[in-house]
Order: sequence, then C-alpha cells, then structure tokens
Amino acid sequence: MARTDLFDRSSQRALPVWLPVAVAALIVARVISSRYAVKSATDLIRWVPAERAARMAGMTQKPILYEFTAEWCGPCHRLEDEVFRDSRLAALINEKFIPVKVVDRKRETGTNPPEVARLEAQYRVVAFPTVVVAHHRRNPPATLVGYQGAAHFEDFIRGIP
Amino acid sequence: MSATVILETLRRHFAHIAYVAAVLMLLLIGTTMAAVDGPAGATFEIMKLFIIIAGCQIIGPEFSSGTLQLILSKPIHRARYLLSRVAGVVLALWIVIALAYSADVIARGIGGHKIAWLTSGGAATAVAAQAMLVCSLMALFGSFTRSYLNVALYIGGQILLSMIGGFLQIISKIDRGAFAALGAFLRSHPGVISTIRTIDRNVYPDPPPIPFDRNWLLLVVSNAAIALLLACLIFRKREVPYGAD
Repeated sequence: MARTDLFDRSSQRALPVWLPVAVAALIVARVISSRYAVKSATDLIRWVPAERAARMAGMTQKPILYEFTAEWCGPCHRLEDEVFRDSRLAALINEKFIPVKVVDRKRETGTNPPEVARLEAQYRVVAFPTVVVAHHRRNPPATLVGYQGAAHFEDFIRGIP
Repeated sequence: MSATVILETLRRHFAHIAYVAAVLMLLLIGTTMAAVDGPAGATFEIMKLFIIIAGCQIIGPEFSSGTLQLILSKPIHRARYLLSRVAGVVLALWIVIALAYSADVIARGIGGHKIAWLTSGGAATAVAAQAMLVCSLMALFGSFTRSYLNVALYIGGQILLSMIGGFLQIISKIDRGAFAALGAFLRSHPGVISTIRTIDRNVYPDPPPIPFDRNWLLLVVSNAAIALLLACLIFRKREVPYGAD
C-alpha cells in the first residue's frame, strides 16, 4: 500500500529554534538599552497646582513633592534636564508623589505670589533648588537642598517610604 | 512562518463585515477629530478596545469551532501555525493603524490645521507595539483556555492587578486599626508592591510619555516575544481532541 502521509508527525510539536534565540536577543537588548535613559525635549512630570495638591494627596495617600526653583538658577535647570526629562525617573516621580513646582519670582519681580511665599516660609527654603517631600500624616518632611546629580536625586526619592 | 496562514488571516479579517464596519467607524471618528483639530494621536487611544476584540480570536475560539482540530490533522507545525496566526492578526491591525494615521494627517491637512507628525507618529508606533503585545498575550491565554476566555483573562488580569496595586498602596499607609499589621508588613517589604506594579507595567504598559521611546518599545516587543514563546511551549503540548467542547 502506498504511503501518502510523508509528514513527520513527531516534528509537528517542535519549537522553532529562532524563537528562543530572538527572545534572548530582545531581552539582552532591553537590559542594555535600559542603562541609557531616553531624554525628552520637554518636562515629563505631571505637575499639579499647589492649591490642588493637598486634596489630591489626601485622596491618593501619596506624599507631595515640592520642587522650589527659580528661572535664574542653573542647578535647577540641570535638575530639570537630567531628572524631569528622564522617562524612567519621571515615571517614578509621577507614580510615587504628587509633584508641585514652586517657582520663586522674587529676583525678577521683587515679590512672590502669596502661595509661593507661604510654602517657602513653611518649608524654610533658603536656596534653590530645594526639593521637599511632605506627607500630610508624617513629620518632619524630607528635604534635599541643591542638586548633586541624577543618581543622588534618585537615591533620595527612593529612600522615601 | 506560513505566508498562506498569514494571508488567509488577513483575508478573513478584511472580508468580515464587522471588522470592516469597525475600521470604517474608527476612521470616521479619527477623521472627524482631526478635522476639528482634536488632540493629536487621540484616535489611537480609542483603538485599544478594537485591538482586544480583534486579538481575542487568534486561537481560543478555534478550539470551540473545531477549526483547529481540522487544521492540526494536516501536516503543519503547531508553533508555525500559531505564530503565523498572530502575525496575520497583528498585520491586519497595523494596516488599520496606518490607515488611521494617514486619515489623521490628510484631515488635518485639508482642515488647514497643524500636523503633529511626531506626536501622532509616536502614538501610532506605540499603539502598533501594543497591538503586538496584546495579540501575543491573547495567543498565550488562548493556548490554554477555551473559546473567548482569553479576553476575560486579559481584561480581568488588568483590573485585578491595578486594584491590588492600589489597595496595597493605601494599606501600606495605614498605621492604626485592623490593617495596621498588614500596613507595617508592606512598609517593611516594599518589594511586594513594587513587584505587582512591575508585573502590571510589563503586561499592561501605559503609552510612553516620549514619542518613540526606545526603552518602552523594547519592553513591549520583548514581552510580546516572551508571551509568544510561552504560548508556543504550551500549545505544542496541548491536546486538541474532536468534540472536546
């Protein structure tokens, strides 16, 4: 009797060799690529107006991260460039905190809006940048004065429970 | 992969009245939004549900209909068939994404609005990558479930992971009352919440904040590849007897 089924049934369940190879290559590429942050042309933080932050913090139980900054402050721009435009760090900040940017205008206009003045007095801000992480049920707030690089900043925000 | 299976999958999609109607509806919504200068890339946001519906028919329903039993009685490699089916569905979705992008650009051009090439292109690329991941996950879930349970698993998993993550985050802040002990445990073991968040981010990634984020694209594509590998590993062992359903 002539054999019509020439297909080797045992190989029907075989796994193509290229598939695990491709998966391994993609995982390696992903690990290597993740070491080099992708920078955005714009700030990636979802800043919240100061007047809404307390209500949002109460609802989400997240601490508020205040960034006290000023236009003329060079290290503030470095912080914004190296941290707030970094997709990984920005995602971490957006997930963990209610971010609020507080821009000091004293040098430009001679005075600050009342809300800015109040927050600067409340957190005793004397230099820029100053980053304050405040939780409504935890005292005292964590404060980082000055900018000493993205890694140092990351350690600071990761160290906050 | 089998070109025949890919082309047949494509043909089945574009010859299906419901698929064509859904595509036309999507294009109409996208064109209207672009004509009134709506947010760039917004069309792709509404495509997510469409992707889930298209992706859920990769393999699970073929068990119930008996199609798979018939196909596997032929001399065809299981993994090759599964991968070709996924490729066909992904291609069918990519065609729709390309059409939506073109419609967005043309409508904005005709309406005299600014064309946000980068934002819209980035959103299209992100949704194309997400389509690949969703289809791979649907193939994975479909490789061990019956009928449309794969879509239930996908959506259920998304809701559950997000809920568990949110609840644990809230409980971790509690330091008095009935949940104080659990809150203290979660605070002293931050890995519990971060593991759930990591799984959530990997399986159900949000679109990236930056158009063409290399790291995000690699995350999505590598996770899709892992899901496909697992799907093939499960599918090669699965028995497909006639009349099982």
